[in-house]
Amino acid sequence: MSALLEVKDLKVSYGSIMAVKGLSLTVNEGEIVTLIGSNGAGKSTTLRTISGLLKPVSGSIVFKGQEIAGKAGHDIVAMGLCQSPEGRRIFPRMSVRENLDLGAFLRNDKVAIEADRERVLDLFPRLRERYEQKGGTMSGGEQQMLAVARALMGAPKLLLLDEPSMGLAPVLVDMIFETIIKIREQGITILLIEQNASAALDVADRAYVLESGIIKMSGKASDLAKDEAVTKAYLGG
Amino acid sequence: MNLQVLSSQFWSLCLQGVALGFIYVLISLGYTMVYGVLRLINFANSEVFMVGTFATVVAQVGILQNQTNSQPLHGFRLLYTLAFSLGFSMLICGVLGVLVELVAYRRLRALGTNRLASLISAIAVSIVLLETTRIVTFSRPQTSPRLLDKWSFGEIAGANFRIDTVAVIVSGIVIFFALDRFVTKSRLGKAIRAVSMSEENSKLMGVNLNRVVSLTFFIGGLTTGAAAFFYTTVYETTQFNVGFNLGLAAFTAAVLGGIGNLRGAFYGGLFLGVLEQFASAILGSQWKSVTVFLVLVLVLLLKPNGIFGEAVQQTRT
Amino acid sequence: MNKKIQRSLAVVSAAALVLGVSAVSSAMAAPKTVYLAFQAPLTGPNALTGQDELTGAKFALSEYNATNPSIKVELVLADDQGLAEVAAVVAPGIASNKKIIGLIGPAFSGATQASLPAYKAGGLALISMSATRVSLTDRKAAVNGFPIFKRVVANDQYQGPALARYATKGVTAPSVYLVDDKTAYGKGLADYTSPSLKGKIAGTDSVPENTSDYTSVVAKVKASGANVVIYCGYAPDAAKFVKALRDGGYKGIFASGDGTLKATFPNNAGNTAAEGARLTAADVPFEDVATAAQMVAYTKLTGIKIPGTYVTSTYNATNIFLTCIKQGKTSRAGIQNCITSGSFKGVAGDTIKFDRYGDIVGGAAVGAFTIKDGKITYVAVA
Repeated sequence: MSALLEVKDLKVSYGSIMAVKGLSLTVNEGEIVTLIGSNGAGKSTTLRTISGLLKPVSGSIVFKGQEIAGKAGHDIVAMGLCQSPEGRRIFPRMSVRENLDLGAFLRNDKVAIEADRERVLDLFPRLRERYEQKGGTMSGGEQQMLAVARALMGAPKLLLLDEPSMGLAPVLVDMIFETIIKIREQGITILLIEQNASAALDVADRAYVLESGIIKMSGKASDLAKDEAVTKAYLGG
Repeated sequence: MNLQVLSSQFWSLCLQGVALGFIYVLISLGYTMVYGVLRLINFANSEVFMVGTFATVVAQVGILQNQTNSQPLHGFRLLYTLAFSLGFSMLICGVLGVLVELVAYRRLRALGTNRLASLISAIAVSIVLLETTRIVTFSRPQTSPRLLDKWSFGEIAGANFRIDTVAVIVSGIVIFFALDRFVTKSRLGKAIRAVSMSEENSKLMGVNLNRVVSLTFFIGGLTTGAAAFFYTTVYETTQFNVGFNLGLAAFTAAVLGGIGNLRGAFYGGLFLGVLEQFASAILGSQWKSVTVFLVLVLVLLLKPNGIFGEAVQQTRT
Repeated sequence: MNKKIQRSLAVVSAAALVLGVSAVSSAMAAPKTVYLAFQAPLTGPNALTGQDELTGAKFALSEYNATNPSIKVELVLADDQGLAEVAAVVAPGIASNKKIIGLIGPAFSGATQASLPAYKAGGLALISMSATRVSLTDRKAAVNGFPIFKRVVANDQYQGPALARYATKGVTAPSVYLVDDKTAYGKGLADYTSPSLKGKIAGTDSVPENTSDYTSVVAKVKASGANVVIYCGYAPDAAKFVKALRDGGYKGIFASGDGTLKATFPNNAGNTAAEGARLTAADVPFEDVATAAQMVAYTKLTGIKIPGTYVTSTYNATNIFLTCIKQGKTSRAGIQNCITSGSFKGVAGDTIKFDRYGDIVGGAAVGAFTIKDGKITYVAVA
């Protein structure tokens, strides 16, 4: 297994506040890796920095063997690193179809795009039913599906998922996590951020625990799920 | 109050109002496109329009060598001259729009300054364009030659369907729907709409924000340049300060319809054109601005985002 | 907002000019150089008028300097944008600069009124080339210009009736539509014109300056059945208005005042629209009264072939100061005495002498003009 994404000693600040204070993590090809932690631990900041939305203060981010820290967002997407952002950030006044079109914004291969479109609509049949509906008028769960589907339209090597289960009904949460496994089966590597630590640890191979901008623990997901400290802090046990 | 004017001139006022309205529509598209993408009121757009009116004259008199007092042209020469000067004005305004963004807004945007800084920068650009033109033209009004003979298709109910009036209306409709189609259907148009809903989200789709912003200023410049051409063709004169009133009217039209929204600019512009005609005919020209702003205030009281505006929260998620 | 910033910029630059001049003059300490101020709108929407007038002042000065005089004269430019509020800030700076011994201007009536207190306090003589508001020389007015204010232009009290007379001349059953441009000048002229038209007015309108679209006014003119249209405003707007009238099918008379008497009016109005328009003015086109040699020199100096409005009056105003300076008057009081009591020659060979309140004795003539073959043509005294 080789490292697809390697983050080393990443520091990110918002103005004078240091949100990520020297974070390192590795995602290997074919893995599902999860980054868990409480609200405000710096999870989203990390993801936004990897995607090029924020510039790090220092540290390196290597994706497919190339340094991408500080690169423009569109160049990073072009390399096959796509993110489904937190909080159902779909385009509200566009239909499902148009949202998916934008997911494939940088691609020119018409045939492959149509094939991917069929693939994601098979993955989320609900979206097929809502195909011409405006994103903003759909339910929270549907919007979340659309956000993930849209990211998949970019034909990612690495998919970043930011809180895909946030605010969803339990049935939908299960459904989302099942889909995450299906996505991995299609050969896509996943870095998953979650507050719902138990579900995340269930599907992930490895996990990192983030606290106040620093990695507190890391290891196999199944081991962490049994760890007493983790259980206490994040699994409500 | 002068209601007597309505008995013989009602349809004439309507027609003229619609023609004037389409010029407003084309300028307000310049405001509304930029506002949609950047949430920035590009005050310099009025001066881009002013430059476009001079570009039209330069194309017709300077480049194609028509004299200010030359006779109207006919046939191919006429079509060629009009098409060339329209294209020239649009191109100049498009490029100028892009330059304005590069010079006045881009670095402020990169620094993450608040919108007030951009607003002041916009005013500075306006003054530079205005005063430069004033100096270059010796503050004199510039006449454009009557190259298009103003024959009439005929009168219906007192409304005179003159060729320039009809041309403005038909071209206005064509340009508006071409733009509307571009924005809704094309790949780049979708990118523009995506950025207008969320900059950050668009970046995650691989949209190059700076390129989309430049494109938006370019398109806004194109429609503003088209407006400048039609203005010059209809009124056959321009002056360094022509942008102030026209820009203000177009901006009002954009706000009236719901700024950031193409259809808003369309209906806002037409509504304003007709309203102005009737206000000045019935109440007197001195009441025109008063009436317009009174209506604007009333509309904004009832619909704070304009007639066709979406709720702010919705546009900014 | 845009306008306001321009205004304050103008104030700052005008102030800088005044300060700059005092610094320069004290450094040179040349006993033989005196300064005349020139106050008019040099930037902003009214800049055209001021810039046109400035050419007249500069030309008069260049003629004077060409004679190699023992007393050198330089101009200090004061930009009031034609606005009272700007003038009120600019004037005290000029008044307090003792190197300045006289002032050509102010160009606009509102700006003049706002400037008067400072100049009265400083005892600075003014000769305006274009401030036509009646009250400025009306001894019964609350604020008049006595004793420092003079003008070489006929006030609207004379021009209004002349305009009414000339516009309706030879028309049986005249029915007049009277339109002004809402400026102090246009509205004022209209107010002095309308009493002479009692019972003949078919309608009135006030169309703000810089309006582009006159079709609604044309609609009203047509609906009213008027056969004479009188426009009180400036040339660029008059050109747009007359063109809209003719394109709209109006066949009657178009008449206007001195604001329109500008060679660019027929040019801007197009080939035929302005033809036959009747214009009055206290201003005579400079090219009609200057010699051919003067016109060559004027064009060479300014780069302008056809002088704008009030060039003649500005030239005359400047020459009055220069005549006094030539007589050795280099103090404010000396200039004031010289102007008040002296008798001067205008460029047309006319005699200029001021009455007690500052108007030309006998009233500056109001000329009647028409547009013939695209050119302003002098007809007679209106």
